[in-house]
Amino acid sequence: MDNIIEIKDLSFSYRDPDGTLHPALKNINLSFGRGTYTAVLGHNGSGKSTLAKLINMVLTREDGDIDGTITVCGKDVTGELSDDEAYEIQRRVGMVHQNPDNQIVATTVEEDIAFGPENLGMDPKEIRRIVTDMLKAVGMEGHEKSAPHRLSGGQKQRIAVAGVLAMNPECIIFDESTAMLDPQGREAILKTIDELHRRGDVTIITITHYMNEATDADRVVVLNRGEVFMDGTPEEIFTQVEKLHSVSLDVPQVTELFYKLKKAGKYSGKLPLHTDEGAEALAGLLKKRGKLCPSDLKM
Amino acid sequence: MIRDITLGQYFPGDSPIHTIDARIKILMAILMIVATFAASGWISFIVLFLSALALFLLSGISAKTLIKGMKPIVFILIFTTFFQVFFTRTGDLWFKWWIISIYSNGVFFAIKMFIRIIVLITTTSVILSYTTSPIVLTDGIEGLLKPLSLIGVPVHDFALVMSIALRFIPTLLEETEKITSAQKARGTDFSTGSLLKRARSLLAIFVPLLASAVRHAFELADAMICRGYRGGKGRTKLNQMKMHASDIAWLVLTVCVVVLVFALNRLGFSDVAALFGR
Repeated sequence: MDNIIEIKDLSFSYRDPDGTLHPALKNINLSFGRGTYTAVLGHNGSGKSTLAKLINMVLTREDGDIDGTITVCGKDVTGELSDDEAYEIQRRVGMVHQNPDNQIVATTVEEDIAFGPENLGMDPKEIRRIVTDMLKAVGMEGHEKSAPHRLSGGQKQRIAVAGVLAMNPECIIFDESTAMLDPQGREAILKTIDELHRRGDVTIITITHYMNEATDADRVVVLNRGEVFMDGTPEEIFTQVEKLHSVSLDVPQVTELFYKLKKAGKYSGKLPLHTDEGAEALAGLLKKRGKLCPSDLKM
Repeated sequence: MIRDITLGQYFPGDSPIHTIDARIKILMAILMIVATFAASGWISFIVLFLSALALFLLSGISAKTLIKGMKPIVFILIFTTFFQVFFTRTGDLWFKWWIISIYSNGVFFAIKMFIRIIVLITTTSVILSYTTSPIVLTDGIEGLLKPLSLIGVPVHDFALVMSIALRFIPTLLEETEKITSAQKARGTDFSTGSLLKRARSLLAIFVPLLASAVRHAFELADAMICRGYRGGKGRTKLNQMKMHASDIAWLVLTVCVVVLVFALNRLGFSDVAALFGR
């Protein structure tokens, strides 16, 4: 498969104004295929946001020491790029940040979505068409004239997604985009991400520390202390419960439940990742055993 | 609660005044200000007063709103009227008692000044603040000043700064509310003590607010760069401002008022006085 992003032997250290270095990433080798959906997991300080900022060129050699290469759409973004090349990379790799308030530039929803295309110097008629399409894509039709501050967190974040989509990017990085949202808002964003993925033309990278959000991805990368700790499908990753626990990361709640059942010898199938699978497996267990009592879960 | 604040004093609507192009509105307001200060003859004042009245009636703004908007200037009105009436010493002496003497010119100047201030406030607020949203106004200013960018004035940047400021007012207000609650929960007392003490406790709000505003600014800058912002060069706009024939008509009409005011100024005080047989 053709890779949109290829990271080779990447190490990065933040540089303080006084010259001291703080290593953030060590010897990372990763590649992201076109149209794939990858979740990057890790604790605070595991280097996951740093990785995203390096790909998007928010962090450059001015901010720290970079070793290795990051190739985005065929260009090494750690090297010397002309302004136009850097601009083009940033258009191709969109980023949705954590705080919805700090991404919305304009005073109405439609003008905010139009901000990117306006910067690209598109024709107003074309911009209008994009705004309409993007609002539909994130399920926010009819909000064209709304003032951003009157929207809920989830709605604001969907506008931010629409604003990034309007640039027609090839890859979107969601940098903890759900962290500041309430459960409904989070649900709405995850649904939007899922729909984007299903359309298939955009590569999606989500950075999160919510395990439940990672189960829908094609692939999960776990970072720990600046290194790639695990890399595989959600099934491969989340069934290694002990390994995740060893770096004090959780698994989805339903997986945790069945892990405990398995440990107690009450369950022997494969560990479910989604609640509906879990419910099914649980129903099967109940049929077989008649009943489960809380003591079954004691470890 | 604080989310529902309206910015400025804008009243949404679709009256003939609301729909005028913002650039034309700014020009109209400037022209009306010129006319108000140029007026000196009685007939000119009548023309001014009538045009202000017409603008007000067309805008659909309620009289209550307008009067409320005048409140801050009541003091100035009384003050200037008082001085004009009691300290002008020209014209005929109409009234004298103890040290108070009122001359005809004093009364006339006072009435003129009164009309002038009322017309000034009415026209500017009806044309601009009540019927134009701050955002549209910003666009209008940008549109009008655009020629200046040819000589290197950063018109676009200025307009963007204005509109981002407007965009962040509600966000920062919300944050002020949060910080106030948080500081109260930590025992900060905002309502008792000497003025100095209270002012000092406000620092507990301002410092975190400032820190957060700076954080907002940096993150917003990152987000803007991510969305391809490179300054005003080569930018297009979703909503193009379109000038209609009616907008031009409004401008012409306002120019007519100004011309009329200048022309009728020659028909001075004495003509009108003669008209009333004095």
